[in-house]
Amino acid sequence: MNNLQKQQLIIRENLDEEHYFQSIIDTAHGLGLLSDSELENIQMQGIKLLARQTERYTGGDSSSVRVETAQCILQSVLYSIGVYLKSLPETDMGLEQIKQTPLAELFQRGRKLIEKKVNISKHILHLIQSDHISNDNIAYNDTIENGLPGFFSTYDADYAAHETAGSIDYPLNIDKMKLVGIEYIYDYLQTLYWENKFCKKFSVHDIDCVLRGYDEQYQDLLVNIFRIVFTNALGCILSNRSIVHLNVGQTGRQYIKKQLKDLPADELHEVLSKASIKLCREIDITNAFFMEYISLTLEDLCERLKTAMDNDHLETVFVSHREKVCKPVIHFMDGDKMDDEAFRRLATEIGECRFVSDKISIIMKEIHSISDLVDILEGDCLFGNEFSEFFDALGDNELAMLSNLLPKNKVDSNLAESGKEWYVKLDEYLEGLDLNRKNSISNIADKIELC
Amino acid sequence: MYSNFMLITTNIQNKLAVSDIIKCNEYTARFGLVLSQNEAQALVETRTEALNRNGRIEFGGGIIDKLIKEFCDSPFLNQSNYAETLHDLIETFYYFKNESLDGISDDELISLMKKYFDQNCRGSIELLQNRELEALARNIRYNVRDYEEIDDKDEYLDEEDEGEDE
Repeated sequence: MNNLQKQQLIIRENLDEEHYFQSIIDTAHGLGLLSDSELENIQMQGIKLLARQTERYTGGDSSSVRVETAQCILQSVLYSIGVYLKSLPETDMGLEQIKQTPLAELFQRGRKLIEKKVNISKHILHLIQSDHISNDNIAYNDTIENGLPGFFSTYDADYAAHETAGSIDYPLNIDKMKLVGIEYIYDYLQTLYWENKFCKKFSVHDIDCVLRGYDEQYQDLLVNIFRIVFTNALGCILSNRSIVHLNVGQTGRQYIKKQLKDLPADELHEVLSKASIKLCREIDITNAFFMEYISLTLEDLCERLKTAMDNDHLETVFVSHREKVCKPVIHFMDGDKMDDEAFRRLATEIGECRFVSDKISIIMKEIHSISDLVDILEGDCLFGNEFSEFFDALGDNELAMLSNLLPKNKVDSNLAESGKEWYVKLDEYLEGLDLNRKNSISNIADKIELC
Repeated sequence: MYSNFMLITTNIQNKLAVSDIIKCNEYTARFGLVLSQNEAQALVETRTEALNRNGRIEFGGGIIDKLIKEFCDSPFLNQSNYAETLHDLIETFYYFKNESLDGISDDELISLMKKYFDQNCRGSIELLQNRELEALARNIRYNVRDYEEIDDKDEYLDEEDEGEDE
């Protein structure tokens, strides 16, 4: 028997997530489902509700508030009503409720739902904190340890329920940025929980290798871990490999390319969809929320995969495994830092020298620590060509140590814009060296560590 | 997009406020102070302007009737300067609500305004605004515990007393 669904006059997908209540009112009024007098009545109720909430906010101490405060309180009230209306199965039912139930009552119902969502969210956060993925990604760890708890300590469900405080840097694979307030956090935590649950099916070492394959410096990146792990796991399924180590490999990628290259978009989606169902069964996660999330993930993956196959860069989608390389370390024993007074005297003396050779000999004799050396380089003691003459006097270890202090990515952070002349001069000097010496300095720089 | 939801029906509020002010005449008549319908209307308009100018919004009857009841027994008010002083007091009130970062309640601010107006300022609105309330707002902003104790009050009083003695 066919399931008959009632045709909704107000289409849910067209409504604004953040201003849900207002968008129902606007749409209904536009469609003629809400008369002018009904709209006026709702507005009057809204003003009364705002007045009551404002009085509660000021504790009856003040009859007036700043316009920004009133706007915030009003938005909070309307947001709370919106939360309740969203909980109803149909949009038309929401409109009926708006017409028949006093706004104050709808607000109270929304307020209770918000309270409930706050409590559930706190519980999910607790679950996440006690069982998250062990890895070194800074954004991931910081969001779980500080950012998300920060939200709950500042969240004001009474007068600013629509605000999303807290520093949530870690990006989800699919982040519903249209949501605000507790709705956003609730969705964020629920998604993060399931992303974690998926990733926890694999070993910490394998996840680390896959992330390292994505980028050696993945610790510092704002990158979603689940997205990379899931894609590789799916790659294993597509290439008929075991998912245990998340390793697709070159042969796996070639196999996938051979199988999927000529498929049209809809068939490719179908193949991915089947593979994802197989994957979820293998790892034994068949939760409806997660399955829905996976199907949304596939939409994006399908396009990425198609582009990568067209450009013959499948390794950008199914990344290679890369083990952590334990490099031999050179320990650089730094000398004592000078006291401020002695340093000032020395800097003045160097500045007054007429010949660069005198400057160099004073620096070599008196400066014993890298931080003092950097202060000299930044302290208007050397000018123009004097830098290269000074760098000539330094050994490979010192140059390697200094080169490590240069900004890592020269394209993103232009050396000239850093305002430090020695950055530019050292970079030019290193570029001008013969290849052997340059490589030798670069090798030392990779290994050297300041003690 | 959705801002027009907040159409505050000021007309209804203003009508209520005018009738509240007129009702105060029954109480203030014993001090020889009465406001006409037009004067009451003008006071409400001043309130609306003052609220707009100071970026504030008010619900309910507002503070005009409270100001009237507090100030009506002031020795410095008479029928000829009554309405004009009330206009100034309304403006002053909202300005200093902002200046004190809402750190003081309506009732307390009105009561301190009356105290300074009658005592330190001897009925001068300029002194009330520029000297006493500026100092009060500063004290509140800096979280001074006894914010109503204005430091230089004695100094001013001494100067004025000396002037009178001479």
